[in-house]
Amino acid sequence: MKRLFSISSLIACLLLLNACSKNDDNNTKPSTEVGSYAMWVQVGSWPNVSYYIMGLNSVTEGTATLSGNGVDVTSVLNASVIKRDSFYYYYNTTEGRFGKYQIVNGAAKAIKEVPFTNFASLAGHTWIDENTLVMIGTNSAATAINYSTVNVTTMTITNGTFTGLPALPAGYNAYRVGGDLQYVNGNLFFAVGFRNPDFIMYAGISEIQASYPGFKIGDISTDTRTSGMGNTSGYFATSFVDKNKDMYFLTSWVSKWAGGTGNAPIYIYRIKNGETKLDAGYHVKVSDVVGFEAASGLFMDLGNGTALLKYIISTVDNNSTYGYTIINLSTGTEVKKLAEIPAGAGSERNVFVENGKAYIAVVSGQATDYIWIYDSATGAVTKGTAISGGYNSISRIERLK
Amino acid sequence: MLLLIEYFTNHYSTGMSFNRVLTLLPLLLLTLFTTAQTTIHINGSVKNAQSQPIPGVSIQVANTSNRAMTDDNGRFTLKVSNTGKVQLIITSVGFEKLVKEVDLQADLTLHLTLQSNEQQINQVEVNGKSQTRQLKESGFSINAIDTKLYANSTADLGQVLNRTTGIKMREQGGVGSDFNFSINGLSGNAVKFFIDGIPLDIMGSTMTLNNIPVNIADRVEVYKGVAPVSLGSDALGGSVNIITNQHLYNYLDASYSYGSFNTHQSAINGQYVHQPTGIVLKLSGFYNHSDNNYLMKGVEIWDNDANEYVKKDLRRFHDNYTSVMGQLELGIANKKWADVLFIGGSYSRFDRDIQTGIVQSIVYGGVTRDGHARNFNLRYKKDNLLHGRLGLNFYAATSRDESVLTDTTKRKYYWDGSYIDGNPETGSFRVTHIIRPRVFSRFNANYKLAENHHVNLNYSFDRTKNETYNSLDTDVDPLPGKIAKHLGGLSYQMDLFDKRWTNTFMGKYYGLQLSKLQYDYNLLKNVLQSSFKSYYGYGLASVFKITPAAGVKASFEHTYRLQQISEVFGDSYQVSNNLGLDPEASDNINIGGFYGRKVASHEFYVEAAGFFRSAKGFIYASQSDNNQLQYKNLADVLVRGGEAEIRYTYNKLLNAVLNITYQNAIDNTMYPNGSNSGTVSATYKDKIPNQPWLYGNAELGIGKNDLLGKDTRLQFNWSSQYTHWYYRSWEGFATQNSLVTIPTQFIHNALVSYSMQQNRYNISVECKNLTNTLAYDNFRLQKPGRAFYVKLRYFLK
Repeated sequence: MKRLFSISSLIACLLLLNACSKNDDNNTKPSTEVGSYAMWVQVGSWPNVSYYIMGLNSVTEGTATLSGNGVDVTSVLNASVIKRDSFYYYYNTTEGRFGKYQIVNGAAKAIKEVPFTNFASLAGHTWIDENTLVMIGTNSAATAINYSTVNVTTMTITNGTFTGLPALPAGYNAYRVGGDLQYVNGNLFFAVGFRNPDFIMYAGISEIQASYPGFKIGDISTDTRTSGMGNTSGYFATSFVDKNKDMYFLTSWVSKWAGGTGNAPIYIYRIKNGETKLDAGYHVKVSDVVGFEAASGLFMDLGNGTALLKYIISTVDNNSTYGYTIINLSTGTEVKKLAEIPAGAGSERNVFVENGKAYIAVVSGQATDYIWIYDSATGAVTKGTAISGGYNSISRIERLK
Repeated sequence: MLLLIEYFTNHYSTGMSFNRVLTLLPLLLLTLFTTAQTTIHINGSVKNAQSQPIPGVSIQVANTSNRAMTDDNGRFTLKVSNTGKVQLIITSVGFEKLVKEVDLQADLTLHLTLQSNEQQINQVEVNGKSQTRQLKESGFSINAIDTKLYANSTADLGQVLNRTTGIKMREQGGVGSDFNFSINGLSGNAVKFFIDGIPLDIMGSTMTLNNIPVNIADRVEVYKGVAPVSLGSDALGGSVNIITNQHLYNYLDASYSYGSFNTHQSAINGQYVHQPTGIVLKLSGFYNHSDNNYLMKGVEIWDNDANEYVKKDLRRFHDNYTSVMGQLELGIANKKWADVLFIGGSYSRFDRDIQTGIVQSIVYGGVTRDGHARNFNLRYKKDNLLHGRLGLNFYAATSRDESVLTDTTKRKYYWDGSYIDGNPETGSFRVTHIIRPRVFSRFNANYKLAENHHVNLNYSFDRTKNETYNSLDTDVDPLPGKIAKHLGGLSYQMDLFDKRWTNTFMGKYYGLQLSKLQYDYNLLKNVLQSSFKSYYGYGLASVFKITPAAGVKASFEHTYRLQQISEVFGDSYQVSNNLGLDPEASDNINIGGFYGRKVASHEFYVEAAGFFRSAKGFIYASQSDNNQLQYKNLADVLVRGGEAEIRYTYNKLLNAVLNITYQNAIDNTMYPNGSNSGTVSATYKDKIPNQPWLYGNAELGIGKNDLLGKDTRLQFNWSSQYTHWYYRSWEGFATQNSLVTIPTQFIHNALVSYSMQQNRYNISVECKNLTNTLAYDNFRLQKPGRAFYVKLRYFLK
């Protein structure tokens, strides 16, 4: 009997103690500021996948570890954010709001959020100036292409719909708009494609020139070599305007075409400075030049006439590994593959470029991962900061301040 | 207890234990068959005053531990080794105790009659062991809940189970909301639900635990990790079996309640037996409705004037829920060729508004989900064939379940009911129809090899066709899939040392047949893809009774959750095939003990258990380049924990229950992204987040008979549920300021009921969440605050 009373008393005490201590572990404590760089990592197995922004003070030395250092942004932000200076801009489609955020005291703080439902999802963005952001995306049924202009200081938004788009071909019921949106010489450029109800793409793309700020569609040039288009949704980086004001874009992301029998090949296209149509003589098929197909969405200007491109080395059991190569932009040829960098697992925007150097964060599955540094001036590849790993993927890396 | 689990874990990992058991099995059998001895047999039956058999009656030789229990037909056999006069003590819940003296010189037959004691049925059983207690003292790890004790409450079955050890039911909102039900840390598809041994969803998607009133069930059994073969299913983490009243007497239980948020709940459950012909008519049904318009505290809405989001307390506005179910069975009982033969049918439907997405900042104002189902069935049972050695049970059903998810508003709603034009609320403009025609049959045979040696054979066949289409685009699913499961089970139960030691050995077979039309873009036509795979499971449940009131037990099972059709064959568009996909598998171990003691009018019952689950290959979608998805075996989980419960009863005046559960679930996935080598995952061996790991319940009941008149009872019940806070995301990675927790919850409920004419008329008043605590099981999904209910119940037996 005594034992019974002892057990019951113990259980009761446990319950009471737990009830009393509920807030002790829940106090928020001041945290160190996030570092100069931010690396977005994904950890855990489904359904317990969490997303963190890991602060780094350096990308060239030392070891980066997530322990106690990650800003948990799960259900707050995702890797599709648009980043400028120290701010993130994020279209939360499920909550119907667009917001401006900053990492403050180790947490993502909403500076300003406003209702926003203009796109089914964000397809692309470009900056007119440091205060003016232009975004595009389709409407909810993908039967029209909408645009929004954001004053990022006041977070006021002006919405509109493009008129004069190419008509949907027979059998195709929806637009797909390329996120290869760029602003050059007072013009906006982006690609448009068409898909059918089975999500199979029409063979060909239309490159649109539209005026800014009028958003009036002008020239439309077409090409039938592919049905893909670029993507600057935030997840990816597939287009840029180089120092000569030539615009380049990579036609990932791709979809099935040719009746669903295969994927459209990926090309690099160009619109030359002062022109409003595709450069008819410039169509670089990535698989011909690199020997491998391009990955979904990493094509970055290195500033000296070359660009970094991520390609797929192999795909086994639905898992792909990726490598990196350098493309000579003017000739559309491969300069060299970055063979020093180990093949890595799927990541999205795992590269940033600064002063002609590409910083490439790779999840290799090897004992230690690194941020690899490619110097376009010397062609050298070196190891930077070590990453204490085991992460599922690195979604983004960027300078934060 | 945890040390014991560690011991088992370590030894289990060598992979030798079960093989050794298999090796020893024939030897054990041989020993047991040869040790039979000559004894006097007392055979007999026990009936009530209406000559109806009473199952679960205890017949005990006075001053000894020798006793027997009646079976479902009220029959028993008691063996006594000495001759001469002995006293038999016959006890059962709801009946007066009977003491009978017999002179034992040779085998004899007794026909006994017990007089009803209606008052007692609402008490925890004191002398004879109730059926729920007998279950608890079997080799399996079981929560057995006598739902009659909750008959005057407005609780649904889920809320009742949520108060027991090892169970956590996490609801997203009010009446009819989605929920996640976990047993010892495994949830979702890992848990299967049954009604009288038949999969519950045969009766349609209306039949969910948080929808079924307590009055429909007689009791509920929760098998944790290890399930008997008679529950033929691929239940990885456990099974819940709702048992309805199977007794052959007339009864009617009708109830209606009304409460906060315009909540109506009514249930009817009755049976009429025409004794001369043996014709039986059974009827059950329920109706639930709630506006679920409870107050949401501190939710955001857009303030146009202030040009910012502001927080306010606002009521839910799009959460109406209605469900209805009716079931009718007509049959015949107690014939030579059949104990029971029934044909029956049921119809159920539900209409549900959906208020939120996965967090409360995703507000819906137009999304609905409706469904209806019909079912026709036949069941047959015959025991005592082949001189009492063989019992047969057969069930067959055909059903059709249809549900429709509608999202056609293209609006973004706010908590005040206002909206702006936008995109489809769930992301897709759709009227999605899901149609599931299904055929199910189950055969069960129980054969007595010899005294104390039984085998049980179970086979079930379950075939479901799955059609899904968006009626805005098409009227038919062009690529339907079919899944057929052949589930076989064979168990052997031995009762040793005068039934003090019972072992049940189980072998299970899982045959999975999948077929689906898929469009072949090269052949330009639909092609039928199909596969058939076999898997084998095995298990053991053992209990040793040190005394009649105390025992230890252990159970083990290697079990599966079979692949679903969409996981293997994808959808031809964005989800690609994975024909090599394995089922989710788990090795489950339970170790426990129980002890009961009665001192004068005080009775205690305590039970404690430790559990271990090693689940491997959880199936999730993985995204490849170009946005293609494929289902893979991606995650492993290891759960270790312990649970304990203590019950106290004082006469018919007082009863109390206190229980606590601790579980430590860790991520056992060694390499990220489904890899078999490379860098060890950052979360390997870390505690799994977003899962309660420490929780407990307390219940106190005080009642007095005849206080306000003869044959009345006034009863007061108090219950509290405690859930310790837990992390929403992984513990070790985040900065303090971004680390989100689900706070501690301590919810209290109170009920006062008054019964007249021996429980024939009952009225009760209940308050749930008495302290109006802000409660949520899932991150930012508030549950109802304080709510009041009145319930009227008529019970005739």
